[in-house]
Amino acid sequence: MSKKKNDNIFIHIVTPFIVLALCVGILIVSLIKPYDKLKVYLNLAFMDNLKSTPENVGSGLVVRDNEIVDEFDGVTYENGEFIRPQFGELYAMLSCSAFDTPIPVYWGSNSELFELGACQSSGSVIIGENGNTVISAHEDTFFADLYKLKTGDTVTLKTNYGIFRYKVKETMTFNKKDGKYVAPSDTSKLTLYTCKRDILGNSDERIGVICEPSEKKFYKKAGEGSTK
Amino acid sequence: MHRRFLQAIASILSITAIVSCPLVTSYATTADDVAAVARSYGYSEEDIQAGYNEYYANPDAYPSEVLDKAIAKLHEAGQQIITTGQQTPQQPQTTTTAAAPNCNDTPEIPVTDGIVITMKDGSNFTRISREEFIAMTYEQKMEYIRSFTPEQQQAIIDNLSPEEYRSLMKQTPADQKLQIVNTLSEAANAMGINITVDEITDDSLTIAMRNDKGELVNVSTAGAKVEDTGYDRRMLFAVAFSLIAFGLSSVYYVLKRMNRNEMES
Repeated sequence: MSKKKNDNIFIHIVTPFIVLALCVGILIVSLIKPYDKLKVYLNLAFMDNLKSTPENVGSGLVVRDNEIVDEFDGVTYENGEFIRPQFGELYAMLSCSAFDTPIPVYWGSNSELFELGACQSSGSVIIGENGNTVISAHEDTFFADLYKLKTGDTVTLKTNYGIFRYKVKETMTFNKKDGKYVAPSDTSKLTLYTCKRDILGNSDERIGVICEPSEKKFYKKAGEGSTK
Repeated sequence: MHRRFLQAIASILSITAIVSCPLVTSYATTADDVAAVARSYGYSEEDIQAGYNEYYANPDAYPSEVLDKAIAKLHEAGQQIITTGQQTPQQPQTTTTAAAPNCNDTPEIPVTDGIVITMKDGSNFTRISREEFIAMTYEQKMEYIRSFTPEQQQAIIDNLSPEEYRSLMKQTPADQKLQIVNTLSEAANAMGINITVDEITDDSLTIAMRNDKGELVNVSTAGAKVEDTGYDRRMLFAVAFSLIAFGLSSVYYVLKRMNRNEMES
């Protein structure tokens, strides 16, 4: 009788902890994707408040957030003047049919900037210049829907010096060791890529799209010495 | 790892060198000339483009006087990749088959499709083809070059193609690479840029460049131009599944114990 009583006490004490462990485990697994999505929207909605400053992280990263021109009513030019960004500067907004909201594009890439938006490789040409413009972002957050882009879709990049539209020319899958898609090129193109979806998050495979320019609109005429 | 390491070094070199030079001067030298020198040493196009981008972001910030210095710095760094040394007795090579070199004091290195190099004094000698050179290990390369006289070694070094330099850069031993990074750090410090190795593992090397205010100017991830665009969830999933496994096994244990109690009663 006493043993049974002890067992009942044991079960009553242990059961809540068992249920708790089960719930926490299931919650962790089920909330990963919603958390990533929420993080993106929170980041976009409260950009300035949620960002780490270099003083906080000690890396020296200075995040420069610019207001990107959304609508431009003035005269535009096919060839014009660039405004060259500094490392960590938000200098473009990327939008296309695959994404619900415009994605901020930062110049340069490191782990902190990848938390804030898409990053453009500093080894590629700036948007609108002749060459390969290479932009990447996390598969779990900002480029979660990149796979939805199909050939013929339009990708728009708005900067403070112009608006640039591209047509998706081809989709691609490549290994991270294969650098040919991100290498500089003589022809103008936009390369967007992210990790291939993987349950563990990290994948050596990349998916992406190559786009060709369809429209260039600069806000100012070309100035001497401002372009290569 | 070696390849990535050297590509990062190349990145620093091209950025610091191109940053420190103006685009157009009243005389002929331009940033394109600096880029051409960088290319000749095998620097990747990504690194050269990064250098251009850095320069074009602040073209007026760099006086024209440093142009020649920038090119000299590239040459200096290039010489750290490979230098002449004392001639060592030639080791017989079994991988090649044909003609012997022309010069009297040149070691008898048989070559298949060799390249004839003309010295300043007008004499000629033949070195192995670029493909054969690239195919060699670092030790074989050094052994081969050291088998010539110092003058001929210099002629071979001057004759190296960008691809040959690139293969050398990939194979250079780690300690030598570190020496180059240190040298570059000193050179960059003089230009107000601090270079630090932020992360180094077997698979990655991240080098950060900061200005004198401590602000990040650029980050080079060791030639790995394809970014890591996924989070590593393995730890998270391990914790989650451990909790679930613990919970399920505990439920099983409790149910079993309850059944046993019922049977006993």
